[in-house]
Amino acid sequence: MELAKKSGYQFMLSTEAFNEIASVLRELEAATRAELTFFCDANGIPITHSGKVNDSDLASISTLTAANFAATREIAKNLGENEGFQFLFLEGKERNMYFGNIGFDYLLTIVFSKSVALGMLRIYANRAVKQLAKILQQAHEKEKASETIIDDEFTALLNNAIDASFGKSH
Amino acid sequence: MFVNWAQKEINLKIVYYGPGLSGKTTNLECIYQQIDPSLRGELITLKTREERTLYFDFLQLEFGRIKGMQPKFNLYTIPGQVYYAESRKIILRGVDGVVFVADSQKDRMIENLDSLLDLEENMISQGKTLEEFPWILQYNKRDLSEVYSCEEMDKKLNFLDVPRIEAVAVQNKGVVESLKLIIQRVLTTVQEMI
Repeated sequence: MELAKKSGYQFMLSTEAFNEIASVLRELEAATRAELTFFCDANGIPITHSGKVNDSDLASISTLTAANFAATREIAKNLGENEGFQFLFLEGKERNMYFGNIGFDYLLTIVFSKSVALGMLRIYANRAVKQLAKILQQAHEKEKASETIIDDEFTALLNNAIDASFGKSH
Repeated sequence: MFVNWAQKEINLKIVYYGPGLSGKTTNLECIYQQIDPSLRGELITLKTREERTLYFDFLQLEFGRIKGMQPKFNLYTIPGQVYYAESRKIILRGVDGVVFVADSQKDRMIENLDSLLDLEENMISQGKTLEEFPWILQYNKRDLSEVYSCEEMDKKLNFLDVPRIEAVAVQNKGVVESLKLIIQRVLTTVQEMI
């Protein structure tokens, strides 16, 4: 299942779908006592999270998570595991990480303490992945890309903002 | 382009493509140094022990709120070495615009052409073509002695007559101009599509 290919170039995530995703993450965080759960796309763009982390750190972690997952997908292919690895687990000294792959287009990541039982976490993570896949499937089916966001005025204002960010010398 | 309505975010992906050692990472380092620090994230680089890009470099730029939305530009470089073909395919997924960083040195033209061909093949595999896709050429390393003239570079690389910019990325020349130009091209394309 590759969700993004169906809508091609762009994807607009509705507020309704976003709220449903955020709700799944909050429930997962509460059930597993996770330090952080976050949801990003396969490019590493953070979509939403539950738990304490600043935006800058989240952007970095999401990007590296996506890269990590992409690398394991290639490893899987080389091993003849053509569907890729569905879940990844990293074990640290203080905390562990668990990654779930949602249709190759989105990733769910859970950061949790060593004291949390892995078996329990896996059950809740699998459940959340299924819920998220369903939400995304519906979101892609319902997607309406007709609303104009980027118009001439938007482009002009953005160009001004870019000029201001780099100074006038360029 | 990924639009998150709840967060009022527009995410756009720009990839710096080109052969190994053409200056893609230097472009991102230069942008990182020059932009207002409050508008950028950390520059993430995954390098080999030989300081070559292993998987990609990544930099996120934000330019405040525009008409209630927050545009975010996610800049990536690809690893230029021939043997990282799979990595390049993955990084190109969902790309909105490409800056092709060409090395102006005469003895690097074959590598430029191979990389451009590689880009075209990867775009086709995503159902896109270079004719319709927003991309620009950056002729880098213009300060070196054994380089082709821009007209000669055009003849060899710019067969689709896309915008091109001369650059010396190590001296911060042409880098911000290239970024601004590709952003404009991307926005124009997005406007036409919606």
